[in-house]
Amino acid sequence: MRDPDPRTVQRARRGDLLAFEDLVREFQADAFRFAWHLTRDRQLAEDVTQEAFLRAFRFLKGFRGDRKFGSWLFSIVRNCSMDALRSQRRSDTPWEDQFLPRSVADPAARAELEAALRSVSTEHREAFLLVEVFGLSYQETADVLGVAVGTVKSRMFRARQALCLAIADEEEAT
Amino acid sequence: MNCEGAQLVLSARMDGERVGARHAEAADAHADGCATCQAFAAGSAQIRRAVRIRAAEPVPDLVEPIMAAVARTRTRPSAAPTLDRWRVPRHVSLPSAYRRPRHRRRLTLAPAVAAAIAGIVLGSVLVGGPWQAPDNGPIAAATIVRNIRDVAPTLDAFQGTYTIHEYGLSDDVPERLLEMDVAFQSPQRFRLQVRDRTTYPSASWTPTDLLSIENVTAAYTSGPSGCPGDLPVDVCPRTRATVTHLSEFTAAAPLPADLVLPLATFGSPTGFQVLGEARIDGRDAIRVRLSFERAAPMFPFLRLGGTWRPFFDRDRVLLWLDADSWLPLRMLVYPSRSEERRGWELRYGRGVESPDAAILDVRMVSVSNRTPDPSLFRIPGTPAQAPTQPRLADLPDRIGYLPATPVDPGDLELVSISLPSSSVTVTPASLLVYAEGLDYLKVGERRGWSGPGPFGPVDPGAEQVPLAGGGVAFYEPAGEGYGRRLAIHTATSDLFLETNLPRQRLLEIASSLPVLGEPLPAAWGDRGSAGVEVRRVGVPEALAAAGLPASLARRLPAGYVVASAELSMMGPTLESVTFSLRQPDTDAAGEPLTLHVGRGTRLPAPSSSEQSQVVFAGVEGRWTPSRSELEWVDEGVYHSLQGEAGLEALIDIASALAKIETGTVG
Repeated sequence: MRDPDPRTVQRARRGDLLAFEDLVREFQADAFRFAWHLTRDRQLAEDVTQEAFLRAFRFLKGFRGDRKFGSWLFSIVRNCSMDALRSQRRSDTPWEDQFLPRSVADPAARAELEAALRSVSTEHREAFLLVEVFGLSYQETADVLGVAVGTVKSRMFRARQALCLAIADEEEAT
Repeated sequence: MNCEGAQLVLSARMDGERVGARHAEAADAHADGCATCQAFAAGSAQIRRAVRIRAAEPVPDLVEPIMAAVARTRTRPSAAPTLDRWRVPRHVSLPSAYRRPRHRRRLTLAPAVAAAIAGIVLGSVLVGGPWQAPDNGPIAAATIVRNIRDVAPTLDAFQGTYTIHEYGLSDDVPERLLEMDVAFQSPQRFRLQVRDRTTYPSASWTPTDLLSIENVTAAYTSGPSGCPGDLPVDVCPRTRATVTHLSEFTAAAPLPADLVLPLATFGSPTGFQVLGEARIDGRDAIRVRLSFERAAPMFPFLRLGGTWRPFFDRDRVLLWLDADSWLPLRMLVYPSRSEERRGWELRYGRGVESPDAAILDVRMVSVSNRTPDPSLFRIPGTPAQAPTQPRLADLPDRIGYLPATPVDPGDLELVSISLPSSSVTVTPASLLVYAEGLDYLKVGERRGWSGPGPFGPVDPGAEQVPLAGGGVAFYEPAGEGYGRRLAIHTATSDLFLETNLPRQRLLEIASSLPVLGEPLPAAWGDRGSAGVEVRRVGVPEALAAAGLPASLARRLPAGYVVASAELSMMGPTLESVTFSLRQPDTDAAGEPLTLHVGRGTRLPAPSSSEQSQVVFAGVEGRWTPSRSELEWVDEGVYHSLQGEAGLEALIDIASALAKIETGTVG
């Protein structure tokens, strides 16, 4: 994930709203997508994104630059998503159809992947989304999830293993 | 190694993570003979393709609601600035070091400058001052532009000192004082230094101390690194310095040239208002009013880094120009009185700023035309002695070709030849710099440029212009830290020219190059995605496709012309036409406008609470301030006009279009 100009972050830290707007503009799409993937609900994801940026603005003074701004923001999005899901008690609701790529060229492949992702545990799915969908490094993913890099490494491997198995099962079944 | 271990390594390697050589070898050796691991690798790759090869999910634009919510948290009564704060300007107490008496040297002019304006002074005796027309009205804007242009090649050296007062940075720091030194020596050596004299409330503020040097082809910029001041310097350095080379085409630091002489600001006689004569600091001056955006080249320090308060594009700048030398003596910035300014303040939670209280005051303290010490222009970290320049005649042996040189460079002299060693294909292989006083021309050349756009920092939407004697070139007005630009594509090489000379003079010089400019290869202009093909076409063809008269190309209000156009096709069907509108001669006019004409019987659903309805020329349209976009549907055709020109200017252009389309004006 790209990193913003540190001067922009610094200016935003001092309360410069123009600088903060630059950050919002740069990261809102990724923040929304991540929230959407975690909540599987468009409206909720919008609320989560707004809340996450509000919290980011409030806590920006505490952001020390020891990790990337994007990782820091994603960890806030993740916390906000968890809060939102808890308050709605929706964490076990099924995947919305639109969660998955609507335009994976081959509908059969899409259905397979969708089914496969459902079968993966939440913690493996989170790591998988951050690395595969958002292109974060293991270190950045570890920063977002608050775990060690080695944990991300093994979660990625487990997620892939589970997905490969699930897809193979689907193929066998059809 | 077992399957588990091998797959762990394969998985990490897929993600670009570093894997030890021994582990990698062991994993490969295992996987070579293991069907399970091969299936894992193939399956993982298939999943990656499935996840990545997809259209992006629709994402709502949340910038406005987020910023509105953030602004609300900032405008709680306790945090709101009081109106009194903006009423100034108050006297700022100066640090003692600053209070020492300065030797004020009255401005003296180089003989050449004096000669250049002698005629004007003589004329003034006859008609009552160089800024006075016989009817006692203010000097014609065109005269200011012409006089400034005439002085430019005669200015060989300059040293000026200034004070900068800034108001309204934040609640904690309502006003700041900075000192600025500017030096220039022909050819193309500039130095700008800002020293922050503000007393900040805490050490976590990093002072805005800036240094920028340009020495012909190399530039150096140093400014605050963004580290909080309360961290130790060895943990986080207070300043960050960068050296760039002209040939890298990076958006180099903005030059302080317009503080020496406002050549870019007054590049055309439109867009500013002459208010009349005035006395300032005992000197005769001419007072001019213009927008902040238009005057941007006169505030280069705002774009060098550090922390500065924000300005609205249409804030008002009052400028005092010395009536003898045309040097800028003082610039005062006031908030615009417009409704849009109020909306901007609201969006950024800045509180109401009185349009009658200055928010920035830049004032010349002393000036001299003595030659600055050469050490002022030395780029830190480079040898004091400049390396020997290659000779033109030796270049074919060194780079395989003799660079094209203009037969008619006028008074410009070739002052520098450099051969950038970078292997990056966007860099010219040869770069020639011509100069005379403040005037400059740079000519870069490269063989084997393969596009897709014009060579050098010239936009793919740049205007295609004919050159005298045949051939074409691609012209772009000044902006983004560059002067007026021209790209020329020929059968054997590509050239890039940049200058602060007028457009007409640039085209004359380009026409005297021994090359024949060709249109860009058709394949370079085509792009698109998701079944939509986007193709650059000639302006007349695009106007015809959009059902607009050919005469529109040069008949838009406010001096805009249609510079270039693109068609978006879905299969054989024309989906939309996009035009780039620019002002060819007004170089400080900012970004080009984009006019989008497509099929549509109604406006898209509203996307912002700030949108408002506007009616013009019998058409109802919609204005979105945050995107600076005016949209309307007229007789089954959807239009969007977007750009930072202000609603009034956009409505002028939209009205002209609507009238043309309904046949009110043919």
